[in-house]
Amino acid sequence: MALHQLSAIIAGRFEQVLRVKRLEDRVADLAERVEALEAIGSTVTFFIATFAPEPYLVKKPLSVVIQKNGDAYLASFVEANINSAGDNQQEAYANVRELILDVFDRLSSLPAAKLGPGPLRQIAVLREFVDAAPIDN
Amino acid sequence: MPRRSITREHADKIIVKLGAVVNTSRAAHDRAEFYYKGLLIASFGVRRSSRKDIGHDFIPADLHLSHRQTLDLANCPLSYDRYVEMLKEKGYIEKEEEEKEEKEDKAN
Repeated sequence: MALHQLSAIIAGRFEQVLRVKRLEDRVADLAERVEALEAIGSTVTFFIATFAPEPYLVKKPLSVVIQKNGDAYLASFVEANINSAGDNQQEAYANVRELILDVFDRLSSLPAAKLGPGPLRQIAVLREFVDAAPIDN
Repeated sequence: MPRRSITREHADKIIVKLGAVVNTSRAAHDRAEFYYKGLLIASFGVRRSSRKDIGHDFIPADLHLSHRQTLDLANCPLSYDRYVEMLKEKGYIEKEEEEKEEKEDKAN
């Protein structure tokens, strides 16, 4: 085989390898974009208007964002950075709802001097939305 | 390639690494609290389950880290000291006076 023929074959193979690499990159890019679009499509927002039967008042509705994440669902009360998860939307919602009250109780029970900047901000935000219900005598 | 999930096993490793205090609660979670020099800095829920692979992908937001950094914190590449340093850089732990002065000296 003449040298120029061999060189043409090698160049052709090299071009094929490059094309496959470009296609692989393109597929990976598209897969990421599909994943991102699926996440947007699966995002829903619920509002907590009551904590009944728990003895807490809702000063203004709390928005909970629920997003599909693999096989699970992530639920967040974004304003106070309180996050949870569940195996389905209802479970994720119920978990974050309970967690909001736990964080509220816990941070309310600690003196401000024991709280770092993050928790201080969390309790300040929570107090805008939640209050302990007055106990009837 | 699908992203690797953060599991209950990772959460347990992070609790040990940070020396976090775990409080039981009314919810389907316990809560792990990370204290630094007596101050509560961050906390995260730990889902109660016998499954070690149960998802905890909400932890990065609670710890002010990326997904990757959270896995690194659980699996060792990210040390306790480096994590504290990162929280200081992000303002979640207040820098001590000495550090502030040192920074000011360098700036002058």
